[in-house]
Amino acid sequence: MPEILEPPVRPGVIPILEDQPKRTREPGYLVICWNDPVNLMPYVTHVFQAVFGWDRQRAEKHMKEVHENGKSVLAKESFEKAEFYVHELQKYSLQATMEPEA
Amino acid sequence: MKLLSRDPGQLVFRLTKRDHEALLTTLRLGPLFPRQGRPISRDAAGQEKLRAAQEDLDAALAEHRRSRVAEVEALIGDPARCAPLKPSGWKLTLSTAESEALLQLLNEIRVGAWEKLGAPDFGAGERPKIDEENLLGLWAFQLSEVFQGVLLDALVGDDG
Repeated sequence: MPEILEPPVRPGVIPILEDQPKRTREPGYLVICWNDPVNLMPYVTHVFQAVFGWDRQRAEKHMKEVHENGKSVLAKESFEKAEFYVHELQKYSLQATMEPEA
Repeated sequence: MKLLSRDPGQLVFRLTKRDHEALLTTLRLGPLFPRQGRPISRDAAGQEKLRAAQEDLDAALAEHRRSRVAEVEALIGDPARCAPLKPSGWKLTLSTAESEALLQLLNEIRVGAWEKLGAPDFGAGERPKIDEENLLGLWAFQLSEVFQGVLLDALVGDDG
C-alpha cells in the first residue's frame, strides 16, 4: 500500500476571512426593476414569474413595489447571475439594471 | 384574436381575416420602432466590468430581436401552424415558448412605438399628438397591446 504524503502543516496559521484582502471578495449586485409608464402591470407580473419562476403572489408583490415605489430589488446575485437576469428581463423590454451593492 | 383551446404546452387561437392582417402588419412595422439605449446599470461610473457588460447586453438584445423576428415570421408563414379556416379566418397553434416569443416581440414593438411617440406618461395625462408622423406609431402601439392582452390572458390561464 503506497504511503500517503500529507502536506506540511504550519501550526498556528489559520486563515480567516477578515484577513483576506478586500479585493478578493466579489461584491454583490442588486437586480433592480424600475418603474416606467408603458409596461402593463399584468405583463410585468407575468415576466417576473417567467424569469424567476416565482408564484403569482410574490411576482405581484414586486410588481406593486415597482409601481408604487418606483423600483423593486428583485435579487442580489454575483455579477454573472445578475447580468443573466438583466438580460432576461430586458428581452421582455422591462427597465432592469444591475447595481453594485453599497 | 380569440383563444380556442388551451392544452398543456399548447395554445390555439382563432384569428379573423382582419386579425390576421393586423397581426402581420404590426409585426412588419416593428423595424420602424427600434428600441432606444437600454442601460445595464445606472451606477456604472468607473466600473470597467459594467462597461464591457453593456456592450454584451447591446449585442445580445440585437441578436435576440433578430432571432425572435425570424422565429415568429416562420411560425406565421407555416401553414401547419397558421392554417386558413373555412369559410374564413385562421387557426394559429403555438407552443407556450412560441407564445412567449410572440409576446416579447409584440411588447418590444409596443415599447419602441411608445418611445417614438415621445415616451408619454399616459397615467399623468400626457397624450401624443395625433398627426401624420405619429399615426403608424399610435397604430402599432394600440394593436400590439390588443394582441399582447389576448396572449397574456391565454398564458396566465387559470393561474390568473
